[in-house]
Amino acid sequence: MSANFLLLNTGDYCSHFDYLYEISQWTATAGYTGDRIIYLGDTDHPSCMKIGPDANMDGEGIYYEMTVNASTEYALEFAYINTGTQEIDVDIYDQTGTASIYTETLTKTAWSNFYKEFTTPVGCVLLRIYLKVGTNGTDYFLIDDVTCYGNALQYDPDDYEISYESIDNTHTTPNGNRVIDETALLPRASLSFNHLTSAQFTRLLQLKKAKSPTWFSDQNVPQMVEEYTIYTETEYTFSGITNPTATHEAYYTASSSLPSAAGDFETTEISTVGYQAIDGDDSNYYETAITTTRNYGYHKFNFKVTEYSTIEQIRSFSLTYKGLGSDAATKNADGVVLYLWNGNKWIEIDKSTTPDKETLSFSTTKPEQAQDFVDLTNGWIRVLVRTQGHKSSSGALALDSYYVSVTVNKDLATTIPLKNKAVLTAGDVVSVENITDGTTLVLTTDYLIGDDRQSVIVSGEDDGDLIRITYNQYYHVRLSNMSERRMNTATPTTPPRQCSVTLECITGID
Amino acid sequence: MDYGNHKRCWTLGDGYTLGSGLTLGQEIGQWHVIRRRAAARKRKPTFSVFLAKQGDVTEYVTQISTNRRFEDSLHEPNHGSGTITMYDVNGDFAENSQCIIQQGDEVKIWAGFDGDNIPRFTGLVTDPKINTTTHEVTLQIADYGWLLKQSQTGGDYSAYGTPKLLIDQLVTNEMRLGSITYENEAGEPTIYTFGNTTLSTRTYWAIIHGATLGIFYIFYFDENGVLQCKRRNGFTDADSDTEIVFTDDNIQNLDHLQMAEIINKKSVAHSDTPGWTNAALGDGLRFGQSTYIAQDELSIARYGERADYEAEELIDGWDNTYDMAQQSVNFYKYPKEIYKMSAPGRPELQLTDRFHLDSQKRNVKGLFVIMGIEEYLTPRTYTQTLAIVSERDIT
Repeated sequence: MSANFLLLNTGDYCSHFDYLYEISQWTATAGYTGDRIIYLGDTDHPSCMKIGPDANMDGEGIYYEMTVNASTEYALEFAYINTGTQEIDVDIYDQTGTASIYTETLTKTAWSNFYKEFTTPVGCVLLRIYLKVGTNGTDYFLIDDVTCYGNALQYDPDDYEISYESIDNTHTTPNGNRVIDETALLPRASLSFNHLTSAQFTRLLQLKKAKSPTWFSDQNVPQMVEEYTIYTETEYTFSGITNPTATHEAYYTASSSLPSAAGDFETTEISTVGYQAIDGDDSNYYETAITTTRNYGYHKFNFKVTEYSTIEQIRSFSLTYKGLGSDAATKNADGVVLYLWNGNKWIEIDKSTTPDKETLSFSTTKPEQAQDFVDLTNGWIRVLVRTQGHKSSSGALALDSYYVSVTVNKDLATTIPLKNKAVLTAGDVVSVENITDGTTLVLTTDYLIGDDRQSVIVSGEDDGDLIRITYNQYYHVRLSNMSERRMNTATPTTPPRQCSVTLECITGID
Repeated sequence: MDYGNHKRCWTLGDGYTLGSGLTLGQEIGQWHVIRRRAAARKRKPTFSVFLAKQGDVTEYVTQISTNRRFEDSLHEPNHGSGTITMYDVNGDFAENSQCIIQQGDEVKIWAGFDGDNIPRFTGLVTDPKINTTTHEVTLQIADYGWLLKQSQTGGDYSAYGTPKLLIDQLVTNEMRLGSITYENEAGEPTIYTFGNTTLSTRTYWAIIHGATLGIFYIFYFDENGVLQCKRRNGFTDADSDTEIVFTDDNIQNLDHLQMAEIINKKSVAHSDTPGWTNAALGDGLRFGQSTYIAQDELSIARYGERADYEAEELIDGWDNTYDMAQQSVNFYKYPKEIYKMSAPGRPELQLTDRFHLDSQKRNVKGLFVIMGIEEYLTPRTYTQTLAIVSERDIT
């Protein structure tokens, strides 16, 4: 009993570690003595699970146990990061047959994705997912967004139909011409089952009730061809800047005025020591105490942009600011307001309202939005931070900036995101070509496939090169309709059924 | 016509050389791609929405409608407005069943095809609503004109005695809404002086209307949120011409909306002594008059008397009064026709753009100017309804 079709059941195990019970679902191995807690200190994954450090070390850790269907395809996926030299030993273990199905050691120290498809052995009904620490007894690892989805189909459908649709709207002109506005091609698949056992039906219903999008393969999904242009990535920080600066500028001032013009608040350049305080994401900070009543505190950061000659080269923008505004007056107007100059006025991007150090950020991958915040005519990106409130007659008001960073075209020099999840053949996609240079790239030498199979990381390609990726894919679908017809049976509480389901693609395939 | 960042002036060192056959100052970029896709028979509309404090919210947006317009009369115009509908299945914009998007949060909308988008609307959220049952977020939006209608000012503005000085002070310095674009900036906006600068308390919007009336300008916020001050008859300039010809092949509907306002007798109140030097025979000036009346006998004979009265505190001196009355009659003495034309959306079109309309089916032909743009955007369609006014009377 097995299916060729794959429809991952998002009603199976999924955890984002937002609640304590999600930690309790994981069990420590007999010798494990380290942490197994919700961790709230990571910026990228604000709530995740921390494992380690563990004094007993290698081979110890935690596991999650789940009931599974035998001889069924499953996909395990999670995000992870190691600190220091810690590592994660992943062991997908058949608890029924007491044998490992798959093992791998993960060593990456930046947030990464683990994805593995596997088939449960014959007779396997209990599975354990082990995550064990390595030989390092002092560092830990973090885990987030764990999913282990099995195939919701035990059999292939008896009848299968797929249509390739785009949702359109037709404008008809007085002369009878038609102008058609339409979406991308969104296939719709209908699957009919003449006979499903109650358990098989329940599994499909579980997927329907989960309401989450999932991945589907009928073993003959059309190949996807995607094209991306390589762009230069630049990160702007105050690392290495001294007073007086010839490049990036930082100023401080106190003023009763609110932001108006691009050149506002460029009163006093901060000192070299000040630049060094904000040059890295650490505990050092640059502080301005506001002493005049009714004045706001301002820190202004101007990044000199020389890497791009045309605005079309700006494709994405991300800003990170870490700092605080502390108001000791009774009105307690704590926090800061973060602005970006959009070429015509200051736009409020984010704000905080506590006296604590907070991370304020903004990012966009829409070129037209990114281009608004980069002034190539004058060559600047302008960032402004203001205290939430002004100085009162009593109580100190201070503005502390720890770190500010702007990245233009983050990852676009190397990472090409794929719209759909790639299905690998012998560990590779079909082809990666540099259309500009007329070359075909080679796996491992010229490119790598992202752990989540939704990106390709190239190396050695030039700014402006057009890269074409051809890959086999899964359909990204939602289960839109589901109906059953109960068959005449002597088992009314667990009746067999005829069943029909409709799957709608939510990501276009053209 | 605005192609956003897809059109730029060529300069040395931006990827091209003199050998590319370009002349200095020539406009280049991918603007022609936008134009070709907009005019294609099969199109894939796209849009992009930025919301201050939330960032890029495009993926949530299911529907956008916007409306911007200037008045083809001397009346105070309305500000631009619109609605954004978002589907928020995960409750990202809800906190305690309240919408976390606030009144006054800034918004910008781009539209185009195949991911190449150009600006279409910039402004503020005026009324955010969330339905946590249907997961629908509805944002009423408006351009910055809404903000200028919320605040009032008055008093001594004698330091700002010209339209440019006054509008810059109100919009750029006091309301901090960025710089302003004036047509012929060194001309009337700079050299015209107000007859009175001790202002009664009115909205910023009303004062700007008064400041532009005297120099015969219109004003509106464009798709980038920049206040445009343009001559009322500026569309006759060559750079307003889009070179687009709308025919029965590329429009959907064309309906006559109304006849534009006719003014063939204009009265303007003033407190100054008539200046005899610039008066002409038939002006009917007399000592002590507090209203100057300009009229066009030919128009009155043909269309009947269409009188209009003006009392604007910024137009008070004799010269200002005289010019205002004369210009109004000269410009509005013959009827123009206003039509409502719907067509597949073209994101490059702007207010005051001029184009040629040649509809054999509706028997309408001539040069028209865009005075209003209504847009409707979803992931699957992009439609525009234009309010267009004939450049002169259709004979």
